[in-house]
Amino acid sequence: MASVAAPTALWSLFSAKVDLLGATMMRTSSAAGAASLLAGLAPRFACSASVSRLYPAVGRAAARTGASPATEMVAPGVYAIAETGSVAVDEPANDRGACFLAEHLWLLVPEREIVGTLDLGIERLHALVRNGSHHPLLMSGPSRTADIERVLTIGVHGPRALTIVVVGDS
Amino acid sequence: MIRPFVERYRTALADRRLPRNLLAFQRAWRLTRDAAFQRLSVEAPSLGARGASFEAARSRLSAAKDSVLADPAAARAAFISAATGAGTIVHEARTADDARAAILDVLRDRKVKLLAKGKSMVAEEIFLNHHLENAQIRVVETDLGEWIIQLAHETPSHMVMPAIHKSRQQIATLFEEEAHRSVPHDDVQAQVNFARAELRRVFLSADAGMIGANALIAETGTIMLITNEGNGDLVSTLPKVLIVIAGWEKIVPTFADAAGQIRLLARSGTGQEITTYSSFITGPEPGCELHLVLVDNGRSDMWSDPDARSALRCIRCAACADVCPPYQVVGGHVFGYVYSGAIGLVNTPFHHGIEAGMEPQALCVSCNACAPVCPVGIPLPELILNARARVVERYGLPWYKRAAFAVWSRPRIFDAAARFASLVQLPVVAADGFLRLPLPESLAWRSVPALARHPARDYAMGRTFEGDSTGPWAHSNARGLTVAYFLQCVADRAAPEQIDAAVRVLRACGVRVVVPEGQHCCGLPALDAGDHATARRMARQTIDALEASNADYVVTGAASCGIAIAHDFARLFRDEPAWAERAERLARRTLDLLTFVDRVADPPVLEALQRPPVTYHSFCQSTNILGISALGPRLLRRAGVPLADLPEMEVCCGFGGGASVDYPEVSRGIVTRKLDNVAATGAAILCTDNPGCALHLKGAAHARGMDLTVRHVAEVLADALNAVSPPLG
Repeated sequence: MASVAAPTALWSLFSAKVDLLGATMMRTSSAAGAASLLAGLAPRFACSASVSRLYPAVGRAAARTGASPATEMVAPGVYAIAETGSVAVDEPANDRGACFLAEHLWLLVPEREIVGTLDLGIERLHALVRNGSHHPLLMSGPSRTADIERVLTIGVHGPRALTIVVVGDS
Repeated sequence: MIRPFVERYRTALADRRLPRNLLAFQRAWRLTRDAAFQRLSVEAPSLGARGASFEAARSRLSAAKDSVLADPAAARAAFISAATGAGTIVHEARTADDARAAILDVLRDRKVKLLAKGKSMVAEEIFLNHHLENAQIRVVETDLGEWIIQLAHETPSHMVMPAIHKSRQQIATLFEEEAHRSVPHDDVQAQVNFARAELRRVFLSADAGMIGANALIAETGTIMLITNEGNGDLVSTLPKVLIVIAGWEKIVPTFADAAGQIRLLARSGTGQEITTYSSFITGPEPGCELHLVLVDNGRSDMWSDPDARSALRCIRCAACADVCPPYQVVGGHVFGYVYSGAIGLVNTPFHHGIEAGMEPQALCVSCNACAPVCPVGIPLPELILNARARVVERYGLPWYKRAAFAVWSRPRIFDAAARFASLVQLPVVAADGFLRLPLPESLAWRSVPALARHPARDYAMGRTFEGDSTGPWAHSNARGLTVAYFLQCVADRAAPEQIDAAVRVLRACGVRVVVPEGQHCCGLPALDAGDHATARRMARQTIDALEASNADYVVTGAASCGIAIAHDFARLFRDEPAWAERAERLARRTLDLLTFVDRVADPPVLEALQRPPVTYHSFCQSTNILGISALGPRLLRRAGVPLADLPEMEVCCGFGGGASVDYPEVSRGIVTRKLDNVAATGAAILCTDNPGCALHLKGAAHARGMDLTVRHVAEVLADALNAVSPPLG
């Protein structure tokens, strides 16, 4: 089932959903833009191995590449889902662990990679699994709990903050 | 491990904070859950989503679950084959013992000292932690709620929020005992930070991780895991050994089905549109091991039982607890085992034996609130009544119900007894119409209304009352129709004025009313008590009496009994086709009073009266089975009666089921919520559409000294219409 809305409309719905989830969304026109944005906002950030591969400029700006836990961690998002404000993450165990242990997780999502519905998002996830991914997941906002007196509290085990950086093609 | 029911019940009643907190929770849940589904209906269609409303999503997921239940062996084989192909080691466990042994074997072989655990209801079901600790393996729960109850040596009291019964102060004390340092008692964020720091050490040092599964996707052998905290991903990512434990009923055929489950689960569980992390685990990563323990533990018995099979659709969202009035009063521990709320009353006997479910099943007030919110359409109220019938078949009725039904089910003996009681009560009948009885404290919260000196049957039965030809509603669409009126035993004996009013309202609509001879009780009390043999006997009497009339409709002012006749009789006779057919024929022309007047008569709207507003409580089954909660207010407005909206109008008053007899404290808690809501409206008159509820509310309002008149809605309508027909007597 094809999504009926144009990508810009999808990103604006996505942005509204991200707000509700308590995450942040930023835009940049290129990988170089992402690198300088991160250098300014997330000093001494670490990035996953796949970031260095997909966004070499970001990899070069990183303090560290690889799995050891960092306060600021950068990883690629494979695609975004407008309906839910989710980003798909598909990292090997060591980098995935670092993503969950970080205080602040940054996900870089290519601007063209957005789908409208959860159905389409799950179809793409199915494709990742068919291609051998062991543990792809959808992230929808920062870690949260309401287990104590139903008080919504952010950042219990996973990242306390989630920023999605939409990276343009230029 | 599980304390006796009586002890659990007393502990819950002694906790005065618990019902307050659960009331706030249930109210908040209802708002956020409804809003989340509302947004889905508004936003999803334009995106082209599948299952773009609660109803559509529910029917898709139910169908997916049913396709697995059509042939579970094939579904298991398909899932196992795909999972094994991906490198997962699958252990099939028929019993709780088998499951524990399989897990212990894996952990011992790998010399695991510390197991970091994500939330799993199945692990709770088989008391896994207890057994592993006996085997010298340290288990740490990492879901915050589960960790709290582990520290407190308790079981979860809610499937989604295991520690909902605990206050932040109690939690701080538990944390201090664990860490031997001080933790702020009022600062939830600080408590969460404490848990983050403490459990992080566990994530990093555990030798193995364990998680449950929200779904098992057969097409790829994938485990779907949904969490908000991120602990599930940490325990399934950091240690090299991962064990997943799940009941086989979690299998869904495809990823598309899993998407449907995500849409329903977060909204139904917490009112979120999506949970923070939705992970899809397929086979072990390089250098790691992935084990899946697929548990039966009574599920095949549930599958074999037509009265329980559909309960295997459950996705553990706990919506049925979140709307359950008794749950609000006593909380989840009283239900006993891990599955609380309505689903627990159905599945506990299969996982833990019929004795385990015997006492809790009577907590259900049969309000049916759980059915409309269940995201997989499990007919929970019906399954609970069947579970109750099993208990009665095995253990018989309690003596007081046996004695009551021995009289109640025999029309002539009942009639003599009721008339005798109406005489012997005279010395204790006070001027206000209530009995002055020395009731024990547990019962004194509800005054007992006196029986009428003359039941309605004395002047109505066997008679015909012609429809009015004048009056504001006399030219309604029902003009000229004939209605056979079913009196209903409670109104007949204790509130004949309700019957009088109902007949006057019908006549005011130009309807001819006949009151068939030979009618007695429809058998609903016996059905509610699980005594199906007695219920069938009484249903046959009722069918005999009512089908003799050639009236266009059978109508009753007792919505509960109208529902019994129109919805329960056919089910009661599912093994007697001839009676089932008669029951269905009768059901087709049986309506409650409000439906008949609103939909058949469809009377005109009258000018609003200048008088103080009344407030209206919709009988819970009218709301949840008939879907007519709007009819009472609408008819009152048509008759010109000013109305004050009742908050939580659709929540039960606590009269129904057996709770008001078996667990009067529960009934009291529920009616207190109702009357607090009534007090908030400022109305001096409360009306409702079911005689039992009216008497229950009247008695409870009287006992607490409220200045409130409780009436059947027909009485208010008849007054407003100033129905010209003379009283029946």
